[in-house]
Amino acid sequence: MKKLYLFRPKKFFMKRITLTICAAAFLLASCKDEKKPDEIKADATVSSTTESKPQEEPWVAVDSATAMKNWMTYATPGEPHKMLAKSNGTWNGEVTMWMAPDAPPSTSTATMVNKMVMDGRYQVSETKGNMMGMPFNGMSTTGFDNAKKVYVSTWIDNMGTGVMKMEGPWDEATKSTTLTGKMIDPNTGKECDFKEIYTITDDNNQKMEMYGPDPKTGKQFKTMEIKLTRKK
Amino acid sequence: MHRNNTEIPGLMFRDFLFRICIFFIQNYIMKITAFVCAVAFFISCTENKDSEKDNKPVVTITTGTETEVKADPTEYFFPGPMHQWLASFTGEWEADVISYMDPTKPDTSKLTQTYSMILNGLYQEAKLTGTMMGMPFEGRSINAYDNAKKKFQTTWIDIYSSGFTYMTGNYDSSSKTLNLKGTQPNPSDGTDMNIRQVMKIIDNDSYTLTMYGDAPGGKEIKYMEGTFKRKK
Repeated sequence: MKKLYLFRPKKFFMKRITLTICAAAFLLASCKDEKKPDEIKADATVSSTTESKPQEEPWVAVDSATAMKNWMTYATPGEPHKMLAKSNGTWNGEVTMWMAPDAPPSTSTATMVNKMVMDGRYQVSETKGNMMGMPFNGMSTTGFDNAKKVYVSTWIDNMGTGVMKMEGPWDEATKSTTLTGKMIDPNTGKECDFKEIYTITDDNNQKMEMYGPDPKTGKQFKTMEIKLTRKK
Repeated sequence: MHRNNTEIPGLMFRDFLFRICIFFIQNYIMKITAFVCAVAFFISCTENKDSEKDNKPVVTITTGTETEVKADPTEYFFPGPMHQWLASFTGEWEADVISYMDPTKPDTSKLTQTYSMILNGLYQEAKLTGTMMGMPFEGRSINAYDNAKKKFQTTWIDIYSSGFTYMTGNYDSSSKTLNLKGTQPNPSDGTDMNIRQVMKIIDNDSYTLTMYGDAPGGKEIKYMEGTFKRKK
């Protein structure tokens, strides 16, 4: 008999209700999403305070003489700083850039001037070049943190308003430093990982390679390469 | 056969009633859904407007290590009101600094702070020179306002260190205070120590700057405080 029903009211009705509930749930969820930034912000502050707390606990008090000795060791430039100082001077750069892994590269030239500041503790490097027809100026400050035992570098340029910071160890085998850090990708507004490999080929030749996320897949690819030759 | 024939029209009538009922219910549900939709849309709209009005960072949706930021790519590259605020400091300032390296014997020194804008007005460079505790002192900071993160960023280096101090924070216009928080490396083991800086604007030509940080035992102490006056 039931076969003769033109449709199954109960089932149909149930479907409707389910759909409506789904829609309502979705809307509620999307409403919730709207409020999420605040909630998550609050969560973030909570987690950051809880994160910073354990740092305070294992503090081992040292006597002032040891503290002073540690401080002096920390502040004294060593071999890594001498290595930085070796790159002082003016360098010519051949810049190759890739906007995407499969995109044809664009090339330009740049000049880099390195000098040590703060009595040989940090190197300031100023780059002048051309990027997509616009004047490009950048400045990096590089140091070697004697306590962390890594090279640390900050970068700013006239194409952004943020500060890129990165750090990484020196590898004697490949004569290179691999620095990693995070930067804001202005296309997505998201913070993304990037990597810089700095190779010291010899006294007069260096190579800098930058890796960033592929705009399509998010996978890291080589975005820039600068071949540096000492200006004579 | 006969029985069936009489039953079918009845069933069809019930079916018809069901259809009518469901039509109304459906209509009712759709109206509710539409109403909920409208309300949700309205809420999301007003919420966005509110956050724009407050000029609050729409910014931080922190999920794990990734910070999601709503950024206007064109806005990211240009100096904004906060950069103009930074530029208003350009020039030389006299600093009276009391440092509490030895809390029992606070040291008072006179230093000179020089502010200049670099890279097309996108960043501020500040140099602090003079004598502190009878020793020559030199330090440099790069101050940025990241348009995407809607936050101030500061890096600091000086001649009594080999690492970098990083701080980020916001300017509170009601109390005319720039609050920065961050980390500096512990000279003994390279771990991060908390550091905090409060810059309070008195008027166009004077401000105070106070630094706090971790001390043995993990307690926060005052590192130094300075009064800065514009040189005329």
